[in-house]
Amino acid sequence: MPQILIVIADPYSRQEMTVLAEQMGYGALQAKDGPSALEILRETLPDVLLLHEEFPGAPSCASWMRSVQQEFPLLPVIVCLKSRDAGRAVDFLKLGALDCLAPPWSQETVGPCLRKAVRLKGTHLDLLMDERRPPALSRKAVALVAGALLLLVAGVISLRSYRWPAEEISHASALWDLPYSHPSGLAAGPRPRAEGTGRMEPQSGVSSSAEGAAAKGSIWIADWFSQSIYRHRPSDLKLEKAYFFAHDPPAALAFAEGALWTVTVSGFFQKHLLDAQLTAVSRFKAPGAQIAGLGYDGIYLWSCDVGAGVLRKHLMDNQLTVLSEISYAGGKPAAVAFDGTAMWTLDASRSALLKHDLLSPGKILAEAPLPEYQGNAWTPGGLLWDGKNFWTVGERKGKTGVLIRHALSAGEMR
Amino acid sequence: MRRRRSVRLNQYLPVLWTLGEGAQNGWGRLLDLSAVGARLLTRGVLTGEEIFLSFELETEKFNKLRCRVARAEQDRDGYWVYGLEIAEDAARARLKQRLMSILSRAGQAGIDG
Repeated sequence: MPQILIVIADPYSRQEMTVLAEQMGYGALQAKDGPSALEILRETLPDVLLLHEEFPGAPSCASWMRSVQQEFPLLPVIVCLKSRDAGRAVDFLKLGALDCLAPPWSQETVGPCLRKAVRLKGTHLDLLMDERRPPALSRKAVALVAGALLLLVAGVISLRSYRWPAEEISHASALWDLPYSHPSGLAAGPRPRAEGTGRMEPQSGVSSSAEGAAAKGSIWIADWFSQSIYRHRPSDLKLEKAYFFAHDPPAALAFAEGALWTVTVSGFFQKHLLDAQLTAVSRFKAPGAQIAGLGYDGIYLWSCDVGAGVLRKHLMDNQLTVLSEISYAGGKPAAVAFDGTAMWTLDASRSALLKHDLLSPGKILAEAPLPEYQGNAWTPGGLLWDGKNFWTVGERKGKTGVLIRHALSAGEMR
Repeated sequence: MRRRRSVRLNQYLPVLWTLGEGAQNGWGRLLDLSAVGARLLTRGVLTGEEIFLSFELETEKFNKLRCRVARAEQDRDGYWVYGLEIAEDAARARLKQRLMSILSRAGQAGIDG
């Protein structure tokens, strides 16, 4: 259940917003001032921060908001105005608030705001969902879907031991053998609404509703040797589709702003439509020696150049203009991912995950060894964060590739 | 693939909108902006065909830019997305100049004929 941190000094208003949020299916955390809110943010990292313009004491709401955004740059912030003032609302938007709410509050006014904010939390910043509001389901359809879901849950529980083989290699990690041998890129991406339509559902945020569950992303893996990108179903990781690239296969991939971006084996960036063939619509030479990984932080695309030992930050324009280049403080950056508050890289030489300061990526905040990659049995290639766990892919000499869900969670590294 | 007629800027610009002097106003974001039009994302419901936008593009301010509402649709979150056409020639020219300046610095170029 998405968590909303409500920071309102007045207890009655705070309770009013809490009740509203809970009625809409969100978990509500409460704080009456900045220090207590900061404590909650650091401990639990809610999905959305909702704070009132009337902020007790110093600093002001705007200053406090800015300082929070420096520490949690990808946390959506909604500001509650004391009165309806469009000019004031625009000022807060310019400071980085996602949106503002004016009194009186109701589910009609607050609901859309929270829905959009919860969807944005994470690595994909897309203010607009392409889909129109879907037609309401008939009662019969709802009953059928509910019945099917119950059966599915019962089936999963009873057939748990028959899931696609997962080898438990540590106390909570899990490993899957892939049907191909050289996985080099990993990303969570959209699923098609229905096979045959050729259209993808836009990526949506985590949702506890059946609709949200249906929209949850698939796992996409690039395999340079078979010149393909593979899409796996999130529920059981079964292979759903393979996209073959006859010329210049992809080595790494990332979803950003409604498109798929890849870097090819020969060092070219390509932008793909999210259609049935992943049609490439642009292609240009990537900077640097050997780009091994791509990651999207919600605003910028990042690449890790294992040859030059640098991380690059790219503007999301047609040429992926390089905004900055940062020397990698670890060994060999094989992949990069974001968890909403920090950058993480998969270091192939240290066989570890490195946590970087998002505002100063040259600084390593923490390191977590990955025992699965120690001893060089596997070469790590891709990294993704699914909101709860890190996933990586690895190559093994003479054997099939592997997909690993790691026991380590970002929370352990805070 | 058909290319766009006008160069576009894709940024989520905060914008203040009003339906006229003393009329309803609100706020939102411009999802994209070109010299001829824009897409406005807002929770407010626009009741007229004409809307006036105020926003800043880098250091340049555009005040009460008169636009015509060409399209409206609601997204799944409950926000409204309005397709707007800029109704003032002088504003279009100014906007085009500013957008070209921004985009040429970012490495993008060219307006298709």
